[in-house]
Amino acid sequence: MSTTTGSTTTGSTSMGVELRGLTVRFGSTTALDAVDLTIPAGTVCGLLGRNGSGKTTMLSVLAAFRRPTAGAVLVDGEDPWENPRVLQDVCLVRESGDVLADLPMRENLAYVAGARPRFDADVAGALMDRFELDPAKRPDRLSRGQRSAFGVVVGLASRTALTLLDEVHLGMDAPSRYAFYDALLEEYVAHPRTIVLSSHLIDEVQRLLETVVILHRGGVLLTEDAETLRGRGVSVTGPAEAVEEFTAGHQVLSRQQLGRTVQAMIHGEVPPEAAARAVASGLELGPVDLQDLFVHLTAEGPR
Amino acid sequence: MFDGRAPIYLQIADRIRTEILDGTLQEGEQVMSTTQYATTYRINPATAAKAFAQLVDEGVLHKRRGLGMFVSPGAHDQLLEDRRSRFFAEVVDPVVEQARVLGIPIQDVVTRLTSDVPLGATPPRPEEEGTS
Amino acid sequence: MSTHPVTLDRPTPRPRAAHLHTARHMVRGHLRLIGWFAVIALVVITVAILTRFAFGQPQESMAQFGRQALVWFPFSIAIGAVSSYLPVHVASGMTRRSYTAGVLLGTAVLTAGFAAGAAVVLLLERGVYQVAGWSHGISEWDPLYRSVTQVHLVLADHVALTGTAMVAGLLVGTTYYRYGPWVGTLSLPLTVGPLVVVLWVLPYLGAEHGWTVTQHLLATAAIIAALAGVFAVLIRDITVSTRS
Repeated sequence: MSTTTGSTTTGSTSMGVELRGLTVRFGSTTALDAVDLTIPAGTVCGLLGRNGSGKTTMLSVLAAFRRPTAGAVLVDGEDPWENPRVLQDVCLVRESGDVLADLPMRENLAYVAGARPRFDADVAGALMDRFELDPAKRPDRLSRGQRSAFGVVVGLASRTALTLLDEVHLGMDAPSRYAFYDALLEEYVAHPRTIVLSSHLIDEVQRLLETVVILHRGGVLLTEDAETLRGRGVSVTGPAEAVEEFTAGHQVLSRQQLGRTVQAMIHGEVPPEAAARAVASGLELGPVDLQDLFVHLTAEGPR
Repeated sequence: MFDGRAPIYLQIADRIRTEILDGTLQEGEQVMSTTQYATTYRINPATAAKAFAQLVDEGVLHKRRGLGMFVSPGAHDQLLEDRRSRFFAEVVDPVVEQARVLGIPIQDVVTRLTSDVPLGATPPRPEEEGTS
Repeated sequence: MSTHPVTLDRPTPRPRAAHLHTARHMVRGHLRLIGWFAVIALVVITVAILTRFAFGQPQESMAQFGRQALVWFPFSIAIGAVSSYLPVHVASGMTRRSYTAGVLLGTAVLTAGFAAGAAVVLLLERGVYQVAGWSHGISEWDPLYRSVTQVHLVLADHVALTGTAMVAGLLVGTTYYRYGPWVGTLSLPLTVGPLVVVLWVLPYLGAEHGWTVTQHLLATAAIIAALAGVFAVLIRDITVSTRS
């Protein structure tokens, strides 16, 4: 069996997401607070945030694992809750893995294949090989990294129009993670779809992303094109007064002083003329790593 | 402007320019597709597409419908001219600035550049001392 | 690394059949376990008969005392069907509605299987007794049948027991999954209570008031329906746990 052809109800192969005023509360904790967010169809979106920032809760709502307390969730223009058309094309893979733990992976794949109209068994087999997973083995006999890898197999082979991968790469060792990144890109370019990749390890995944959403304390801190975001952090080094002058009016994320030299990190656009003037006046400008930017933007304390 | 860790699409564009300049990519030759770029360099295809779009804007590449991206005729000369025009500002001027900071007379730099010392060899130590 | 061909021979069902999907997997997934259960049951009954034989000629069925196993084994299977199949069902892009329908369907099929299997065991035992020339007496007072030759009554009795046990098991599994161990445990009187009623209260009431078999079965069916209804309501908006 290869790709299921002519799945009757499916239309587009990418589904976008729109959240309006999404609020999720558990008892007295507010996990997500009036979140408005758009994830364009067909992009690889990085959902970044510290632990407890609301990433998993948001993904759980998108996949109808849980019901929001308030607000609207639209996946491909419809509420996913108890919506068979939308849900058959939404796949959330969590690090814990939602599998039949005591049945061989082969049977787990058969189960998924029966539920997913676009499931591709050839892709599943190739990915199993790539991650060196034996289909005769049971998920509860796997290491944490292997379980994550199996989740990735399920997530990518299902070819769902909205694929949500929640911290799946955390348990994997470096070779598996790179195998995962390669597989993700290959599958994405071969069969474009919307992929949301949540993580708090940004260094490795940033190049895979087209858009970035940073969640912080249950709210969206920023949504940005990944390349633009990378250009939005600037580090300035030079004499204290000159640095102060340059950074005035900008959001300063961090400031370190060494003797009379100050290094400051600002968040925001610096027009080329301003940059040229700064360089001419003896300041050194440099890029800010996305990871650094993220760490400072989401640092606790007054913002 | 932000040398070093510039946005990836700029780095890709630069890499393609360099390949055209050094002859790795010939005029009229097809360049890798965005998807090949994406999988080869582990980057998002949109990032590669952004680099290509920039090069198309500059006239270095052109798109042939259904076939892919190709190096435009005249791209080599165009890039050469562009790089030459920026050579002094980007390569020579920083050298002059460094020499000034270090107190090396410009004449020494010129001597060095015009002498037939093999590249990479230790320059002759200046006899005179204390340029302060 | 050798290649491991992943063969998936079953055709992909349309999403409409999502409930059948999980029902089928629920039944198939337990076949091996049920097989072991059957083997153990046969061994235990054989040993019981042989032991009894050591004290003289058996006068009554030994298998009839296995009714409790017909309750508690399916009960435990049903408890597990919630935590194992609910997350996988939803994670595979299917609705809670189809999960409820699928699990209830799977429960019905398994109940029928257990009921029929146990009836076959009783009839086999009777056959052995006949060959040996022993009398196959039913000494328990609460079954609906007085002799295993009343096959329809044997089946009705088994279906009532196993069906109630399984639906009660689903409810226990759901309360634990949904509300956690404290509420799950504290609500056991409510979730297992109806099963206790069917096992021990209904027979007394029936005997007191001289109920017919039909009346007894109707009362049981009402209890099963009520349990299934509460199960469906609890599943309707259940959160697929984020605890790993």
